[in-house]
Amino acid sequence: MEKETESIKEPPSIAEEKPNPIVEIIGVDKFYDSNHVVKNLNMTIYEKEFLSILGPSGCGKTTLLRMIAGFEHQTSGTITIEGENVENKEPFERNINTVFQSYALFPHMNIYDNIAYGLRMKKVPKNEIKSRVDKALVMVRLEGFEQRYPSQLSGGQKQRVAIARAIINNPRVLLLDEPLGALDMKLRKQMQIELKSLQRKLGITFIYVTHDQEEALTMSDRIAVMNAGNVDQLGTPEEIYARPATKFIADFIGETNLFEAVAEEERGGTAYLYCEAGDLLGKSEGFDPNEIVYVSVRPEKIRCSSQAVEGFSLGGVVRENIYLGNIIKTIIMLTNGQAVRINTPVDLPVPALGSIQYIYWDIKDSVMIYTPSNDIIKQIENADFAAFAGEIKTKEAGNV
Amino acid sequence: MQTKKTVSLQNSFSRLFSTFVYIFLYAPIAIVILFSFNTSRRNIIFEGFTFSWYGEMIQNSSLLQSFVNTLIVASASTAIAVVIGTLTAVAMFRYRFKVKGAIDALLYIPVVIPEIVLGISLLASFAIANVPLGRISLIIAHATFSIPFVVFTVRARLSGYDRSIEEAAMDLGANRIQVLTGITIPIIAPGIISGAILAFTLSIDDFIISFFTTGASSITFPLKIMESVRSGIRPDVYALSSIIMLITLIVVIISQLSAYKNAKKSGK
Ligand SMILES: Nc1ncnc2c1ncn2[C@@H]1O[C@H](COP(=O)(O)OP(=O)(O)O)[C@@H](O)[C@H]1O
Ligand SMILES: [Mg+2]
Repeated sequence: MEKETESIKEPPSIAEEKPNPIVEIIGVDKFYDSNHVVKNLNMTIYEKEFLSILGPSGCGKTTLLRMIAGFEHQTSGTITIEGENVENKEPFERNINTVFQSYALFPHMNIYDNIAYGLRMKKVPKNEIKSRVDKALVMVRLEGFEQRYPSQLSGGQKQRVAIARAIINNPRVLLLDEPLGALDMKLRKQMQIELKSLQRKLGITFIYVTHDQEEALTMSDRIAVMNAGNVDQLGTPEEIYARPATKFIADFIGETNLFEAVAEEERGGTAYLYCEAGDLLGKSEGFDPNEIVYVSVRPEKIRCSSQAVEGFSLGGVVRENIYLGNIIKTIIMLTNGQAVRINTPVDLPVPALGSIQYIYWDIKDSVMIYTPSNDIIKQIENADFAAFAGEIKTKEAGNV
Repeated sequence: MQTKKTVSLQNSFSRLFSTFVYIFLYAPIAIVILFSFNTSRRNIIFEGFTFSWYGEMIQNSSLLQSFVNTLIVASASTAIAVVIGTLTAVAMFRYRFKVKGAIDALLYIPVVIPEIVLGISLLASFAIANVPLGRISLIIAHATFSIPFVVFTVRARLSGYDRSIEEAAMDLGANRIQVLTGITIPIIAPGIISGAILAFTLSIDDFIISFFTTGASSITFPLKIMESVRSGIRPDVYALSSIIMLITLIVVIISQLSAYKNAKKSGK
């Protein structure tokens, strides 16, 4: 199973040809009364790509999806589908289908009628409906379930019906709102693989909402990380994992250790920094002296030794060694109370419980993160207050 | 702690009690059925068995006419109440509007208001609107008091209804009318049917409001019975009552059976 996931992930399907934009979101805002749920959002989604919208619960993912589907209207901004502004298009006029988190199957219809519904609405001839439903049932591996009712199916089967009911209409874009959210872990992993291979086979654009970062990383061509109504970063899973743009993303995607540090100096591509617990090294990216940065280092990239390594002086006590199957997670408590997590493969030695260890890493494995608060501090520091004061004075003089 | 003995005592007591309740409920009904077969015209003693009252009932044209009138009024008022009540319930479920709370509260008033007050108000309204008292005014009156009941039963059915089902239908290309006829109404049908049954039975046995809102041209069965009480009820009225009960029983059994079948079908 592992292998299969890997092979699916490898070549992003959009790389093969020059991508065409299929959905464009231009400066979209959404207010619920005074609640600003989606904030001046810009995003282009390309043909045949698998784009995940990833973010914590309540960040506006569903609202964004519902605006694309036409169930919700943006307060301002434009959404285009296949180059056409869909401002005045009802949901049933958009060539888009949705898979709902709650499945939303029709409880009074059997599985056949559920799947055939979209084609019936389009007045497709009966015999064509029959052959297309049969094909869809094969595709989601539900042959023989035609006569059952939704309440007689398990969660995974209902989900498959919901998917079949949507894809049978050959939409250009399929919207999926946490479609696997209600399934158990094992079924979820299996459905992730099935969905991904289905998407490649059909060549449909998937816009896939999830709050599960692992799911987004394994399935997507690109991920848009949302936070409080904004898209903080849009990129390939590799980019987002290796170079998170914000502290929030570093924290949210995968597991990481964040060190709030001050840059002291830079020499030969190395940044010399210090934090509360001691000195550390990072990648030099040209910062100003005394700038505050966050250094993010993944647990699998941190190493430790009983002696301090050149450039580092982060010492602590080994508090825990937790066996997690293929890895051992070591928790080291630094002198300032920060708990650092280190993952070591089971076949490598781990430090003894209670011993004093110094942590270090290869500087290429560290990620420097600048926070917006830095920008504010910078602006305040760099502001030319004298000129500003002068400007106010001239204005006042003009008014008099 | 309970001993076995007290448990069995409680058991036999509750059995006795429920037997008593059922006798209390059904004895009067049994008596009516029994006396519909009584050879005696007076209903104090049972003298012998006869079907003759059923024959007389068929010949009693004014009695039958009143019964037919009752059925017409009940059907028409039920149809009106079901359409208006269902649409009201769906609209109240679906749309948020400012005066929803007030409309909600207003729905309860016709239900709790004494019937006699409602009867007088309707009579006054018909007088003002120049509606002649007869079958039409009667149908309007019955629809009026039935609408809230339909709204309540339909709304109860809607309360567990997932709106995303309608959105899914629209997503698949159904317009608003198709969503209403193909999705919403079939799903809330059990609520509509129980509302209709309620409206129909309320209309059939209504006396007070009918008394105020009908004219001599449109006498209903309850009014007819009331009228005949003065001259002493004849057993042919019992005969018709027995037939009504039989029909009611059949309707109840059928609706229970179909509800059971539905429940089985959807696996609930
Ligand atoms: N119909 C609505 N009316 C008012 N507020 C809403 C509505 N739908 C969502 N919200 C609010 O918008 C915010 C974002 O919701 P949502 O898009 O569902 O988030 P997510 O899908 O990321 O969990 C939440 O704060 C939620 O309370
Ligand atoms: Mg959501």
